[in-house]
Amino acid sequence: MGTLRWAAGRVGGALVVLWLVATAIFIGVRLIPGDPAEAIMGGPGSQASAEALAAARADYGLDEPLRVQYLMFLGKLLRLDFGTSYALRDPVLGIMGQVLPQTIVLSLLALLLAWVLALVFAAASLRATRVGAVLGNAVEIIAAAVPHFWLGAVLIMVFSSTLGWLPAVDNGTGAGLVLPVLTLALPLAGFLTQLMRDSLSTALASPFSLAARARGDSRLQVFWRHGLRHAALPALGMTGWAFSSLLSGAVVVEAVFARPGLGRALLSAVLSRDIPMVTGIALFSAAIYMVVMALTEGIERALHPAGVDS
Amino acid sequence: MSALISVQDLSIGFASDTVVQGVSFELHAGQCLALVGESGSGKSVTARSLLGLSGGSVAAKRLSVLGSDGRKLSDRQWRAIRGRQVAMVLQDALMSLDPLRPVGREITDALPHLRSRAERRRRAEAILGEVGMDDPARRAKQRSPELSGGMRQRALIAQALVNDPLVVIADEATTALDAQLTALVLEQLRAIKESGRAVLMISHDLAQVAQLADRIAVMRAGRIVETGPAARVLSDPQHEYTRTLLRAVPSGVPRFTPLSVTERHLPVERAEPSGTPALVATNLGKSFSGHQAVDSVSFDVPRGQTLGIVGESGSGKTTTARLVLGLQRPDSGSVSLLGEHFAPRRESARRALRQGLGAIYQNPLGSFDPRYTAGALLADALSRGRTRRVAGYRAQVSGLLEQVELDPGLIDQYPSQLSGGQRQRLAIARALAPQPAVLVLDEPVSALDVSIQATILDLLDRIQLETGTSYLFISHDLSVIEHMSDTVAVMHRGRFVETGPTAKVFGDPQHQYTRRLLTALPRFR
Repeated sequence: MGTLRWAAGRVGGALVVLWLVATAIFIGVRLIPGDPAEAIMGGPGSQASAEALAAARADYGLDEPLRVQYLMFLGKLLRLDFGTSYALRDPVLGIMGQVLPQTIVLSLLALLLAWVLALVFAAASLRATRVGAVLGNAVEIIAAAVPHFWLGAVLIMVFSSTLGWLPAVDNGTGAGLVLPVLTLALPLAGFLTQLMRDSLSTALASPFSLAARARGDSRLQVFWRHGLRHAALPALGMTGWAFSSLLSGAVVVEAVFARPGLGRALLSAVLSRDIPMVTGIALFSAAIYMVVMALTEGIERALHPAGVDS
Repeated sequence: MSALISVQDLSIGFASDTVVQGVSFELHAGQCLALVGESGSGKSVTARSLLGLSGGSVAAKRLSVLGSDGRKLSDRQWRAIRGRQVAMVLQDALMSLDPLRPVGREITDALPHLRSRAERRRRAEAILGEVGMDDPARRAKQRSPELSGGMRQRALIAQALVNDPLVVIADEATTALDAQLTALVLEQLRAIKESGRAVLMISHDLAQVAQLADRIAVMRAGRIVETGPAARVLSDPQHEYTRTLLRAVPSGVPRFTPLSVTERHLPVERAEPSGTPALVATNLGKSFSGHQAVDSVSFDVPRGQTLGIVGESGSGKTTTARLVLGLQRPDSGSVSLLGEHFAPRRESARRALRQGLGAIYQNPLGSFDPRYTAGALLADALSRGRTRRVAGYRAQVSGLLEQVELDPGLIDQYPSQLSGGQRQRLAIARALAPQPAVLVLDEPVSALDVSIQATILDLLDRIQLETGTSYLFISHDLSVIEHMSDTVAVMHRGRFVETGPTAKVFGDPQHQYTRRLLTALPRFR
């Protein structure tokens, strides 16, 4: 019952957010000075033909009152009709279907790698000496602060240009994924390590860990059975946020590594003022963000059931 | 009869510190040995060395654990002993069971030698049933925070007993538990002893071990200062320190008789209470989502007197305190302070009255801003939050420190640098800063060792005699309440089931629930 209500609330909340995002886009487009039809077709610089402008006007009902325009706009979104990208001359939905999986695979791999690295670092730092702990801490903070474009460039220089171990551009073998995933994962790993270490060391020093050792658990078992859960909770709470930061990081990384994906598509859509494309990407990003948030919250609930405090 | 555990000349050190030195004892089947001492006396480390978990470097002439030489065991060999032959029950089941895992898993973890999962689960449910858990199959799937205090304590005992260990170490296993839970744990430990196994009990409280121990060893600063049969140690203590510990037990000690050695005898010259009572609560009620936490509670606290409220955890004591302090709005009833209406009332209207009401809690550390020094905390209280600079209040700050017998040199220390007793003194000093008429004390000594508790209780007595402050004293500990109160109210399920003069309630209890509580009160004087 509790879970059902929670899920219903989540879905309802997501719909409200999507509606707000859509409304913001609708208002934003109308606020652009000049002819909205021209704005939709890429602004005055695009020099759209009179026929194209007329088509856009009809499409978006621009001759109708604002109220009707708004309802038409929402109605289309409900039917998953995001219109046609004027720059690419293809339906937005179709383009999404091509670029979205690329970005999601990239982000998920980066998220996974960041988690694994963070756990390994956090566990290792528990046994580190004083100097080692300070050094490790410094490395994590630097990693968390490094901008993606710089890290990507350095990785390409070292592993691709100098050592020649890995391709800088995807050649379809999967090896091309390594550097982009690393570029996205390292800063996140630095950040997650900082989050995890505190709760991990608290958990391993707490009476329940001593009780576990007194039952005959080995150190590794205590880490696996008790430490991991407690370390995961705070990091899990941040994973929804982390995933959205990965999506925006993907904009940079996909440009640096010349990969197709949502980020690249967004970048070119913004540069060419491709409003239907931008609308589609914004709504999809919001939707992805909310799916991830709901998933992490679901995992948190499983680890740490509702009605349980502390 | 050969000993299950035999220790001779045990020393344990951490880096350059030697925390245990020259400790020797034996533990026989069917026997309970109690190691008694203050925190930091080395008793817990000694007990953990019997599991190879002391964490320090261990040296001994003999360290025999069920026939194995503990000095030579590898970690793998120790693991075969832990939980199977020697098990440990720790203090505080809330902390000693992983809050994120079902309790059944904590038990099956101790059963790696059983091959099949179903077999492990059956064994776990069987042991839960043996320690008196209702519906073991369902409980095994619940996490410790979902269980009641009693259930949780049973689960903690079950995870220690699941392999039928020959020796059970109970490390402060009854500390800070209310009367009913203490009785529950003691009953389980007694059953272990009577089944021919051995119990090593670690405690700071002589009164508590008196109920079970056959032999008592008193530890101080890493050494055993006195050891002997329990009855002899309790009735005829040889060492000065044992006498100090015994004297610190408040049970049965008349009001204003000092419990600590350092406190001189107090001149008891109390004026008969007169005028309007300091605090009056009328018909207080409060419910939380349908659960009646406080139900038509009325009392008054005369000036310069103490009302003690005693009850088990969950009986509504703390909610009553919060209603009195105006931290929660009562559903019904009212509170007046020095004859003025105090609650329920708008905060802005009663702000001036707040000076008259102070509060002290079990864990002072949580109520101090960790970035304020002791001096800053007091300056903050003296200036009513206007400044944290000691400069303008130096005389008053040192006056307060003196009043609570804190070294003036501690003025620049942070709360985290103070000991438990010093923190509670600082909390008392802060509460006294606005010269309140009433102090609400919610379990003020429950986290302290008996010997430290004795000095704090003496201090509270002296302050009451000197300043005429009234106390609303809340505790689960019957002996503390008996020693500190003029009037006692027994709280059960949100109601006062019995109220009266302390001597009358403890000497001639009328209500059935009071009588049941009093059977758990340790008496050995």
